[in-house]
Amino acid sequence: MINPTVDLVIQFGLMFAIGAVLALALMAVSHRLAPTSRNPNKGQPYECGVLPQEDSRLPFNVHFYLVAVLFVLFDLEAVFMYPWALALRSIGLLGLVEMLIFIFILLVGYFYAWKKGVLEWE
Amino acid sequence: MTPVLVLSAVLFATGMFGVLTRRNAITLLVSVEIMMNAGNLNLVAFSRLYQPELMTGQVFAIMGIGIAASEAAVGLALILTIYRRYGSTDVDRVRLLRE
Amino acid sequence: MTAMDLIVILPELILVVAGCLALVVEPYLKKDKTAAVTIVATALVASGAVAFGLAGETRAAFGNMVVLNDYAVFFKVLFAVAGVITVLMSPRYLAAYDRHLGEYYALLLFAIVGMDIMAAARDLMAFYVGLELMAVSSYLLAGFFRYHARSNEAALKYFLTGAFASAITLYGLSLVYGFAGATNYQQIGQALQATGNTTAIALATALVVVGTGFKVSMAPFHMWTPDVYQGAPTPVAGFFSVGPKAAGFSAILMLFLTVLDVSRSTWSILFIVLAVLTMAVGNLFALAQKNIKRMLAYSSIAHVGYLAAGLGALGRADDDLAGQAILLYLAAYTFMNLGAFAILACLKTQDPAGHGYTLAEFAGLARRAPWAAVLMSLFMFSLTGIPGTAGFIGKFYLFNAVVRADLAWLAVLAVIFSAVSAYYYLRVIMYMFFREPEREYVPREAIGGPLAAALALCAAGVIFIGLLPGSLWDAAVSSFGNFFG
Repeated sequence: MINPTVDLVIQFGLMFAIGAVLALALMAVSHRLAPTSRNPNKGQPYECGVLPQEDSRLPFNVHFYLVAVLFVLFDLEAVFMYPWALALRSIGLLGLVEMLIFIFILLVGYFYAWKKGVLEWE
Repeated sequence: MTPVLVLSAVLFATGMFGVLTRRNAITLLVSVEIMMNAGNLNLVAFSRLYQPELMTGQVFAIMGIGIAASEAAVGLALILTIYRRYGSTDVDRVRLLRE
Repeated sequence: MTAMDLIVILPELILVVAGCLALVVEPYLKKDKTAAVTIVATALVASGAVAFGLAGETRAAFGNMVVLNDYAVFFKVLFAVAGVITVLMSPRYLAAYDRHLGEYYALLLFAIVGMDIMAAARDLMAFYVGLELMAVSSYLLAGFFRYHARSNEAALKYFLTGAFASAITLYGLSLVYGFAGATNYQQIGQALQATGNTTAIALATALVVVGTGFKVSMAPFHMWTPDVYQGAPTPVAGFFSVGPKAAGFSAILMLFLTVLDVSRSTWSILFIVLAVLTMAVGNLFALAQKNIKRMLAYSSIAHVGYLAAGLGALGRADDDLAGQAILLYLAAYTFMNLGAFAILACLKTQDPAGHGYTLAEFAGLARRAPWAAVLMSLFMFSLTGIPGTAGFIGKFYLFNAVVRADLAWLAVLAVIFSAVSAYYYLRVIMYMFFREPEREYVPREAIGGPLAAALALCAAGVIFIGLLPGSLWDAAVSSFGNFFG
């Protein structure tokens, strides 16, 4: 086993050194490589020659964000279920009950979102 | 072992650098998440070093991931309210609260 | 997990069930949210009562993740009291903004559960989960007035700084785990004793100090505090100024006394430096504030400075006097600061559109609202530390402990800054009683109901601790001792 103390002192030294070098290097590289000649014609669309009518990044319906956030939350809870499933044999009935409690709490959240109309798509 | 710890230190420094230099709320959130993942990576690495059979650090890391996700969800919701009000996520434009 | 384990977390279980219940009933409630308020208030009282009833018990649960002992009980009761007062001052205020929703109370309960876990945790994992539960709920509470730009901004700032602090804390904790090979406080303490105080451990200590320093807003990590308090709904700001701060200190005491005991000399010096800085920043910036809400935010930073001085003393001393004094101070501070914010909430509720918390608006308040003026004076006296109030008792015990730790210069500095603070606290009283208002104010109906009850609780607490501190001091002394159940 390596000596963690020495290891971490090295680690901290490297942390600051690499952080500083990386930042400076990236700035230097982008400054060097970035083309400097500017011409308004360069900004024009060239493929089909049609000027854009509006910003291509249209605002999405808020519902998309809501559903996405809900998805992140409920999706991530699965991370707790994989280790649980692997250990289920050894933790037995108690483990099952504990997971049911966990899922029940999730269902409370789901019920709340449902009743608040997040899932309805008008 | 050491390469993993160096990687986590680099991640932490990158995240810190991002938090201190960027002004876009989404980028700030991403930077903070990178810092958290540096911590999680440390936990997993140390867990493997000390107690491969106990997995304390790995469980801690799973908790960390779950918490980071809930934090991201809340953060995105808050950033969304800012975006809808200001039409931008630049934190320097959000400055009503001052003397 | 056994039934015995559940008793240890019974106060939190009550709060979790009530919080879920509040979420489930919320969609069925129309304008009238009395049901949600009743559930939540009952649960908080029950949680505090159960915690109080468990005083004297010592046991550990869930594989030594959490413990039940007098230390945890002290904080659980304190958080329940702070929660009850916050709930009482909220309904009229939220209704005035047309945002009286059950979620508010559920979030408040979840935040308190997180705080309870922080005080009871004896494992880095439990501590981190508790910290984040409190923090994530707090971000949402700060932004609860979704249609108000200031509330949005407060929530965003609180979130960004809070998440940054959490990430630093997590990294520090992961290093601590790396040195010790364990997450249990006791095991880490023993493992680190064996290695001795090294540079690397000092670095991990510094990371944890920075992370937790952000949470309790020690200077120079305080920048978010005034903005967040100003933008957040007033009852929420009051809650932030006492609840998460007390929880932060409960966890700081535990972490540094048990986990990082080996680097005592390091963190003691760090906290002394931070204390001087925090007292200076809090008091001097508070002098310049014309907005009472911002003034109270800086004043809360100043109080954190006094508490940090206590932490520094605790690291230097052989006895627990400073730790006990910190507990007493936190209890005293809870009542007086929540009281001051309750007055602000009261005035804002009377005039939601017009009132801007400025000092000028307090001119002549004694004539318009004598009760509010008298109570505000009481809380201001207490925050200054005038004898006969809770603030005096808190400062007396705390500064005494600092002197006993051979840090007389720090205590003198703290007293000098307290004298400075008298200027901005007493200025409010001067405006209320001796200044003519600049414009005419429409007389509003006096506020009764829950808000009056909250004010009465705060005033009673301030006077009771001020005159009869004996029982609370005994509780603080008996709580601060055996940390492992």
